[in-house]
Amino acid sequence: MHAPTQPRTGGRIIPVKFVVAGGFGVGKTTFVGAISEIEPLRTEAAMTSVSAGVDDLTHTGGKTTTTVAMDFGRITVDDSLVMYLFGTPGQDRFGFMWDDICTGAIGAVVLVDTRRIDQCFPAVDYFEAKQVPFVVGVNNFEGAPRYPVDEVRDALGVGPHVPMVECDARERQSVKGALITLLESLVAQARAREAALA
Amino acid sequence: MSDRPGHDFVRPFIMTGGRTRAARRDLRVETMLQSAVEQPPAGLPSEQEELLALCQEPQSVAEAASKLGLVVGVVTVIAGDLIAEDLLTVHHTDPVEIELDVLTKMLDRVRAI
Repeated sequence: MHAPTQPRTGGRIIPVKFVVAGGFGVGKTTFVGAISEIEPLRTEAAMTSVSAGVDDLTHTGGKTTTTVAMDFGRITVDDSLVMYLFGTPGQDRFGFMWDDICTGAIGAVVLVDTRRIDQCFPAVDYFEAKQVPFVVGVNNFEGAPRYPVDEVRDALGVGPHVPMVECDARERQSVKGALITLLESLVAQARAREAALA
Repeated sequence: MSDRPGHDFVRPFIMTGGRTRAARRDLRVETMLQSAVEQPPAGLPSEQEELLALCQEPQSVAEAASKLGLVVGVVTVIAGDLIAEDLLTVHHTDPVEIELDVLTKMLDRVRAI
């Protein structure tokens, strides 16, 4: 054993995790890339035999393992605070990975494609069940029908406490707006908690 | 395939001796890792040495995995071994209660982008 040493440089860093979720191809990686200070990094998780029972690997021939990519970005706040944005794998069949990615997340953005609105239902269900605060970003793709956000809210069946914003993942300002909306709602919830304790 | 337990082996985990679970279950993708030593002791397996070298600057598990080209689960196993040897430290393993002032700081930061 080696003598324990103090961290040699600076203090400790608090990582704060956010998750960007939604259906396949809805723009999660684009969203992360629009706001991250680094090019989104790609990391992989291996699907082990644990997931092989859950996931359908019949189409992968004799392969008993595969990996699932997840992309993430970073926003440094100061020398003791870093925000990470993780995109969840899009396909339903990777749902088993969500706990690994989402545990400890303080908030989430669920991106909705109005042409395939049902694809975000698993994300909405997940964050509601885990009580992770989230905002819904309605990604208005060209040629997609435009619906008032309240109509999308009804279609998703989420309550009025869930903020809804229009969000074009390719536009930094739009992505920034969605993240600000999420943070503002987290601040409001924290204020309400403090007031309740006072 | 699950009815052939002997063949469940996953190649990415060969360098961990087949272990897919870290000794430390509290290592998450965002957990910050930092080397506790300036020079890795001689004789370490190369993947441990590489992780220590990388973590001279604090890195999240996910960043380390991405930069080393390893899957996340492999990094948590390697990191768990190094932590057990006191060669690697983690910042804040317990979930940190995010207070109002931290939220406000993040909000200000994002508004300034």
